[in-house]
Amino acid sequence: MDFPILSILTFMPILLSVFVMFARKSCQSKITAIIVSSANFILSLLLLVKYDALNTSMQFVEFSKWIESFNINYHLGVDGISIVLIVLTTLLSLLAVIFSDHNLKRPRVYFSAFLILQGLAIGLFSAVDMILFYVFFEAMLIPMFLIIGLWGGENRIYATFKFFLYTLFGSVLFLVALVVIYMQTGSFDLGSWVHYSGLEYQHWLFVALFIAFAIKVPMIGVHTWLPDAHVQAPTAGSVMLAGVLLKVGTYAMLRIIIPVLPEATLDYATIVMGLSAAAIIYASFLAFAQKDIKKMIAYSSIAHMGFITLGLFSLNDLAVEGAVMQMINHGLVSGGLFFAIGVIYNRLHTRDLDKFGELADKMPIYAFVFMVLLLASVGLPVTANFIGEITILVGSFVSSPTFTIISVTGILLGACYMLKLYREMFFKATSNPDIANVKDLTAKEILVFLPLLILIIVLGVQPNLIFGIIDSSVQQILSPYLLQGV
Amino acid sequence: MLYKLSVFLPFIGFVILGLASLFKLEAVKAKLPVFATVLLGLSCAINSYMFYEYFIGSKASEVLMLANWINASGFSVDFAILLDKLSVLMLFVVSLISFLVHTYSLEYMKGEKGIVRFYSYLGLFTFVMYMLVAAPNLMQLFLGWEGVGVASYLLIGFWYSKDSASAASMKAFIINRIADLALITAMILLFKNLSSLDFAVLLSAESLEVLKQSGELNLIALLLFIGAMGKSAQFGFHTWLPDAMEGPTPVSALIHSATMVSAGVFLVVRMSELYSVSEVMNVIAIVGMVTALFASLVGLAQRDIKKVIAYSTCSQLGYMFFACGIGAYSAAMFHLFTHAFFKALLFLGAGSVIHAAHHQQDMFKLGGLGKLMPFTFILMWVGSLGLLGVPPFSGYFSKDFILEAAFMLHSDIGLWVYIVGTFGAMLTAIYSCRVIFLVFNKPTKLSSEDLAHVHEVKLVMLIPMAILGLGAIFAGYLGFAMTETDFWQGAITQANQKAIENIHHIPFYAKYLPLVLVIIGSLLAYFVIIKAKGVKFLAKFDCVKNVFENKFYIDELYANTFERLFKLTASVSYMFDRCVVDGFVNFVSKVVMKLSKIVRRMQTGLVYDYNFVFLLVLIVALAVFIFKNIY
Repeated sequence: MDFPILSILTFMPILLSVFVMFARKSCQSKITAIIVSSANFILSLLLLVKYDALNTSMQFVEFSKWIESFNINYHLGVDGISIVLIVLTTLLSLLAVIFSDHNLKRPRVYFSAFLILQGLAIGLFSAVDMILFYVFFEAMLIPMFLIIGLWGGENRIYATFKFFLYTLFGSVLFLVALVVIYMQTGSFDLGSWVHYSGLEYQHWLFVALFIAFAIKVPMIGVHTWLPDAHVQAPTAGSVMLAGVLLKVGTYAMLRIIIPVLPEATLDYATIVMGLSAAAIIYASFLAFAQKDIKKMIAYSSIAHMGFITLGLFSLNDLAVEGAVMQMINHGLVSGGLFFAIGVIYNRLHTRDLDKFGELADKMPIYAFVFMVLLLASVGLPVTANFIGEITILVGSFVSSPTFTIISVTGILLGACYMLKLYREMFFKATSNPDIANVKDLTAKEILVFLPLLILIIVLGVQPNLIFGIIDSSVQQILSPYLLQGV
Repeated sequence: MLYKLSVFLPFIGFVILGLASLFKLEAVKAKLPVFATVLLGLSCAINSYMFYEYFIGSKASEVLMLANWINASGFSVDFAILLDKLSVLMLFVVSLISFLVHTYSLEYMKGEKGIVRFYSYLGLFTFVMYMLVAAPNLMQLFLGWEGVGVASYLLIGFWYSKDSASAASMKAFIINRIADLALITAMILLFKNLSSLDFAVLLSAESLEVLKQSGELNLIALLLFIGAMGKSAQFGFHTWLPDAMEGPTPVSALIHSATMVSAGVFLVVRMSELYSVSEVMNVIAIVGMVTALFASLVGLAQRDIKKVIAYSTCSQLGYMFFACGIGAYSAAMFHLFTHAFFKALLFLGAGSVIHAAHHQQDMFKLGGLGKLMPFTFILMWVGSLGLLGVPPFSGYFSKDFILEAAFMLHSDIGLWVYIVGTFGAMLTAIYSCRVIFLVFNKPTKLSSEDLAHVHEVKLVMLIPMAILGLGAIFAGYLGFAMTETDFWQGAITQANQKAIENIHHIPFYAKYLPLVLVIIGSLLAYFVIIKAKGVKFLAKFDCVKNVFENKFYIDELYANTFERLFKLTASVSYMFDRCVVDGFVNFVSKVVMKLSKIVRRMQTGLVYDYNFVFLLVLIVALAVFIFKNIY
């Protein structure tokens, strides 16, 4: 590949963030950020167009030596799974930048943080060399740390430290695992790891890597950073956190754990499926108990991510395709929901469910947008989430009927808290005087929601747009398992 | 092509009206309800022609392919329109009732603020109902199934600022979802065994053999039936249907009586090949009987006119299910067909009464409307006679056919069905006549001021009712051919062929017993309500009446057990998460903090402290060294 498209996608936003940083006026910094993000978005669509879905090897590969003595290379490449996640990242970043107001404090740092975050996420999704992957994995923490720490709510310091320490703890385990695998294979290249047979200490490696990535997802037990981080983060930060950062965990599981550690994965898969089923049920109940709408959506995120890990560790090709589909859907829907909460928070400056009501009368367009997001969130047919959930459930039933049936209940629980949320926000009579004067969505806000809603419906009616891209890549990753007839 | 267009006409209406309802386009908005009605009229015309082609012309069934929906790793599902006798019948019924309800609502909902939104929801409902009944696979059926659930949710909660309406809509959605879990599980099991969800595959002889071998046939049949119970408000899942009466009355006529609630029956009939070889038939029959009996008993004591009709719907669905339970699927479809007409008519009649009487729904506060609204009065009688099954009205043919088939089965379950069905017919007579006598015949309880406003409804409302009235009279003749198995051309099967063939050998007493009981029931209602006879005697049974009026306290039971348990679990989980899980995390960080404080104290920054430590370590090291060397 002559044209280093992946490097450009990764480093253009990072380098150009300098211009954002030194823009003369704050609105200029926003406009620059929008331009850079749009360019990156369009460029990422190019990936989609040029990608050869039938070719199972990594594409758009870039390779050059980096640190020869340790056999570390600058090695980028993407398959179908990475591409859909990269497009999701560029789309959500663009929308996050558009949504953000340039009148906040330190706007230049804010917008450049978003650009840097975007670049690092794309780098992570296209890294083939695992040291490179690790660098992006770690570096992503910094802009997110800043976003929550500088523009967050009143309790942001607690939240940022919790978020940072949790992930750092995982990173240490990740690094140790990397070194252990390097000692055996003599390489940091994912491709050589996958083809290396007879990797030792697989079970220890599995535990270390699994904890590192489970914190990102997050799975239950290591999830308590998420609600705090979400509640404190600014709206656009929450969108990136839910839409992109959480996917890093599941992406890394699919990219590293499953192909590199097949023996351990087979041994532990059922346990992970059990944890996922537990996450779905437990987090749904937690969501139901919330009075803070942002926290409710944060917990619902944990439940929905449970479906993804359930699908991944069923090791069934249909369920894994569903899981990748669901990563996209979750990015769109929870991204949309966090935007929606931002909209109402900007107007009423509260997230307390008791302070809402009657919004269906006052904000009909908002009510409509929220209804579509709700229906997607509860997995109604014709929305993309339905496709993701049903393929995950149908596929993972083969591997573990019990945990799949438990997870089916999640579909009901989701409806319980979402409908309750909707009823109390939009229908219930309210005594809050601010609601009388509240204005419906502005053109800018509609512009942010529109692509999300359209994608949710289009992917619900034509999910093959995603399945067609990821099919061969998923088959490739699962090939060791499929041959054994798992 | 025309048929495909017909299916999408209501969808077009939904999109246009739905978008318009979001914006302030008053001039356009005024015309939109008529536009939606015209679209539905077109769709209805096409479907009627389809009905003619398939039922008079006996056209062969076909599948109109629309598009591939899902295709991932061997999981392939299409969007398509399956046209066979079963789906064409349903398409016809849905489009006809929907069209009439559209027309009726032009007047009924006039001046309502959200009328455009209302019509867009009606369009959505009709479209997804089409998708449901014309589905060639279980997945598309499920799409329609959930779609009608949403449309019903939106329409029940149409007057959302009323707290009871938003509560009822949520209840309907969630109870249906509970049943849907079973349906999803059934789909998963079917796909696991057969790698397909197409009806053509699922219902083939080989597939049924595979299911039998795997031993999951009965489980799947049961799960599908549980799904059907939710949508068709069978006992246990019935609580949402009476509450759904919070929606506008035309909606009750369309969704909560004639079409959506019969989707459960439709599902069982669609899967009749599977049920015929399963062992859950008796379960279906028993659930149907319990529902039929329970709902008619509760219906006896309701005060709200709509709730009586709602419970009557519930009980008639029970009839359809026990018809399925004894294997008389064609009889169930026949009853579904006739029921759609007379029940929609009853609801629209009730709507006219409510419209005329300023939203007074309590029958004990109405009365004497017969002279003021003569046409509504007559049409309500037509609908009621259809429901009662008095010849020559349509219910007579379909209901008696079910009972006769049950009787001729000569089995225990058949006999039970016959007894319950016949007794239920008497109860039906009592509560139906009670409605008419209370609302139309008894001296009025309305204030003279209110009474002055009562007048016969406009033609826009009367004509749809009259058409349904014709249906309530003639649907029995029109549909009688449905009782013959050959008629369906393989779309549905019949389990107990013999009983149905021998139906005309039924003894005289068994044939006319239901009718006699219906007449007795009507007379009872007449004497108690009009002539006020035996009121004292009945007063002794007030406690029984209370149980009926409070629906056997099942709502209270659910609220105090499941709902409470659910909320308790949620708050306990949250406490656990805060205190134990997050508590542990914070505890770890506190321990680290404490330790670091201790360690920090060593970092005094004073040279002599460090020198002291250095010296100490040196001494210890030296000691160890010496110690080692000596030994």
